Amino acid sequence: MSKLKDKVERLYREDKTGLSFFLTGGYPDMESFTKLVKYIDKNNLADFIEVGIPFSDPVADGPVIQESSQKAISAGTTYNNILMAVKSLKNKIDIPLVLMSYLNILLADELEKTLLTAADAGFSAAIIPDMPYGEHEKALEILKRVGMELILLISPGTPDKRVREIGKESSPFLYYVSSYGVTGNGKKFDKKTLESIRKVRNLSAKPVYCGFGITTGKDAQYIADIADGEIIGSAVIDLISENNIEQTFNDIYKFAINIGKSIRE
Amino acid sequence: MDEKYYYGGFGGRYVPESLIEPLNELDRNYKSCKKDKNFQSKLSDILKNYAGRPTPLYLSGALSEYCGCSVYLKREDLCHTGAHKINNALGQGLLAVETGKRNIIAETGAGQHGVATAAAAALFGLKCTIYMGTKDIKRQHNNVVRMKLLGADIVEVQEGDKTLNAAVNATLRRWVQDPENIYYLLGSCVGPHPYPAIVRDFHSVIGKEVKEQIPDRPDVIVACVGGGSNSIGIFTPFFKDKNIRFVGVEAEGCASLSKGKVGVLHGAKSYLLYDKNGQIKKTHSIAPGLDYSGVGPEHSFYKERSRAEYVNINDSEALKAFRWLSKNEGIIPALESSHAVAWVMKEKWNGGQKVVINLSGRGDKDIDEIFSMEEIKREYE
Repeated sequence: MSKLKDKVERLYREDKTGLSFFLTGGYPDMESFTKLVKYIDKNNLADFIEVGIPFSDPVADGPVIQESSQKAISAGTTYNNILMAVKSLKNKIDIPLVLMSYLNILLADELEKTLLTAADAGFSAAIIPDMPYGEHEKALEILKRVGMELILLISPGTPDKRVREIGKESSPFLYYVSSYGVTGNGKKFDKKTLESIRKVRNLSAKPVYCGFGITTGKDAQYIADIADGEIIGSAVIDLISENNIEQTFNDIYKFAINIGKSIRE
Repeated sequence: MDEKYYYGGFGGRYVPESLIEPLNELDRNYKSCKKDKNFQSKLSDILKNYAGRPTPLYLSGALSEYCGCSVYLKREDLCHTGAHKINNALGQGLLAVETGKRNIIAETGAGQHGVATAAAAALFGLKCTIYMGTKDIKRQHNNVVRMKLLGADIVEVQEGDKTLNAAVNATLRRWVQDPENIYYLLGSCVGPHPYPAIVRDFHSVIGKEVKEQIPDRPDVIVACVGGGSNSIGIFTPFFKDKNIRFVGVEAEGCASLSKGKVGVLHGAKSYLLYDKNGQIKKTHSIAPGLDYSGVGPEHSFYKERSRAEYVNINDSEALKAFRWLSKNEGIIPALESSHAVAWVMKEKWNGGQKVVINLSGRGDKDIDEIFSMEEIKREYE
């Protein structure tokens, strides 16, 4: 069983809300990025980390992640050097890692090869935001072969039948996109969001993690009522200072403690 | 992978999950409108009386003499708003009306699709927002003013390459936010299924008219290819006649079919220009309508099957053709269409051949940009 699956299932059994942080690979620079991963791991600030591969045309992302991606690309960040950096952490960290990449990055070389490199670097699963259910078969088959899982997304408009089908393929959890739109801050969560998550939970046996727009402790607490876990991206990226890593550590620590309290109390 | 969303191995629906249901809905609505006689007759009426169809097929004396064969121009430049783009804007605009969507968004590169969409929105009484890159706003100022006059809101896209690519990204992001109320009126035969099919169908009126207008049948059909909408529109009705040669002319700096690799961008698997790390390349062309890193999936299919040849023309060749046709035929072609003209002028022909060029648009929009080039300005002064 993968490190990620183990963790997600344990949290689920213990009825604890899982927490994942998203980091843009190579942002603000490769060294700080690896330090951030280690810092989050060492201080137990999240249950797993989603590592985003910067892409020139990220259609599912809002301005915060777009900007961090653009900066990382301009600084020469590539898929391979993010993977090398992640691989260098392999026996030094305990926290499971999830790869978040747009499909074209993975197609730049043979899909077999790019996904095998990801598995080898230590990634447990992949999220490919522009490869929805229905276009996923080939990648899923390769991921299984290299020992990784595929996390598929569900949106508020996904019909029940499709949710059930996605529930069978997505593992170890379903990623529920909490509202229409791109990643980023300032979403409003309401009863409809909760009802919608509840519905998805009832339609599938897998845990449901919620992401897109969770910004404050209040948001996190509200969602934690129903969701099995939460994924926070833009709000984390927003805390990253481009030239002061100590400041970033402090801010992320405070943020994580606040979120942790909000979802587990 | 669902075969019906593909042309050979190209196409598909590579979009965020939030857009899958809206695309299903669009697919259903389009299919029912396509079969609906009432819809079709409304559209024909608008195309005829509002857009000015059928456009003439003109046997160009000057080009025929220059090339030593019969060269016909399909005069899409005479369409209302100045380019073939109006065919699709009216078709999809009517589709939006029929399906109860009052809020239209669209991307634009050269501004021709933006102007066509703004006109369709004005005609149908719809709210219209156009996304356009900063770079294109500067070089197509005239079209920006036209869109505003037609009542559209313009959103300047400052990210990415600041041209069509970035405009498509921004429009997709906006659509994801409110797919129930917004109709995304995509302007080329690109994007996720069913867009490539919808755009092709609405433009195939071009090829259908040529079929009726040309004495006998053409030997060669030539059209410029950016996303590929005018070319697919003129090619499609002749697809089955394998003896007719199709030539798609790309701009040298954005020749995804002649110089790219298969990848995924804006919802479809197709030929694309990207670097070894998978990042989409910034492109350049003097013709903003061709300045795009991808191409419609059906063209990738044509290429793979060798049903069409894809060639490319550089900026100065296109500019030369632009000036030549203006001076010798009295027709100022769009810089995009000038690429097709340039290729025909370069090629060797024998006397009996009939060549049809799709003159997809008129060049009025390009005049300011061309006259900002010092050497040209001096020459005409």
